[in-house]
Amino acid sequence: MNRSLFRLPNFPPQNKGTVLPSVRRETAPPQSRSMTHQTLTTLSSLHRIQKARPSFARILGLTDLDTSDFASDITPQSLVSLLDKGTNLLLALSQKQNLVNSLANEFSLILPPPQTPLVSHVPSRDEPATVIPITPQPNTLVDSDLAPVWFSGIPAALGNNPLLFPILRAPAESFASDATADSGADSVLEAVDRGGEGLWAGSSLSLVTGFQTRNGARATWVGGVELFSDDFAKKNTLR
Amino acid sequence: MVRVEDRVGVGSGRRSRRCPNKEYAPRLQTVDVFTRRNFHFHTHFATGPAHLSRPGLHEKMLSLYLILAAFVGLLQAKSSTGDSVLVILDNKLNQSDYSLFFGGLEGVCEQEFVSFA
Repeated sequence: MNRSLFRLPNFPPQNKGTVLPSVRRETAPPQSRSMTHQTLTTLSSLHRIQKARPSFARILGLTDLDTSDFASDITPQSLVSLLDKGTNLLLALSQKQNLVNSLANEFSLILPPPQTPLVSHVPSRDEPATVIPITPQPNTLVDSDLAPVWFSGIPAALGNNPLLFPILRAPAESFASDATADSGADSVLEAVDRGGEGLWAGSSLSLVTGFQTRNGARATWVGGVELFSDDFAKKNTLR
Repeated sequence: MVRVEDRVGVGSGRRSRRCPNKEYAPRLQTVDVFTRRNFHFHTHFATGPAHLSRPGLHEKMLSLYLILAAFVGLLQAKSSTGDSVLVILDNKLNQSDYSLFFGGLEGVCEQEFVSFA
């Protein structure tokens, strides 16, 4: 069942005939009259949106889509409005550039270029280098007895924003690279020779990041939707 | 996390008629209760003479009430807008591939799925 993100209040229908004075309606040219009516309609819509209530307490956006594939009412503006009204968001980032990734930049998350997943060759395993076992470091949100998890996706560097807090850090030996094979290691080595310039690596990167707004709502950014999949949940970890 | 911090004020109290050598300073106790959901109590009260180092029964009970209230708040924690969840799922992703994650949500909140056509 499709439902709107917002629950709009039911205002009484406008009597369009009484909105404009009859004298002005007679004298005004048709184009200006329609523009005035359009302006009033827009103002009415804005007023309704301001009075709207969120339909949900939390929204989980588990997508890996391009921007054009999103529904028309899922926009950065609507998501920010939901946060402003106290709705918590959990959004999965994509390796493609889409509106969720663009919105993450506004929350001081610095993302690598598109198609640059997190890569780690440690420990030695049968899985691809982009499927990484991660032992969570305990913090105020993560318990110390949490089992290792599998991750596949992109990391994020955290900007200097006090409202950001990392939940799951990247392993120290991991890095973001568009080349997972050994043949593409030259670009990584060159970046290391430059002092790490342009290299997204190390445990300072965050894979799951929280952001608490000033009104107490939380937006959580996850580097990849596969983190929630049954395959990763059932996969044996290397504890 | 519960942090109870006791501070005893010195030199600002009155003197008793029975014991003029003892100073009855207000005993100031600050109780902060923090939980993960920013459930936050902050109170401080001034009771009892300063030379009594052990807190009184009513102070103990008040601390106990605060801790119990924090746990009750955790158990009945809900978002201000309710406990419903909208899951926006890519139509290329199969909902059954995430059954463990969504199954964990089912016991907590009402879910509604929206997938793109």
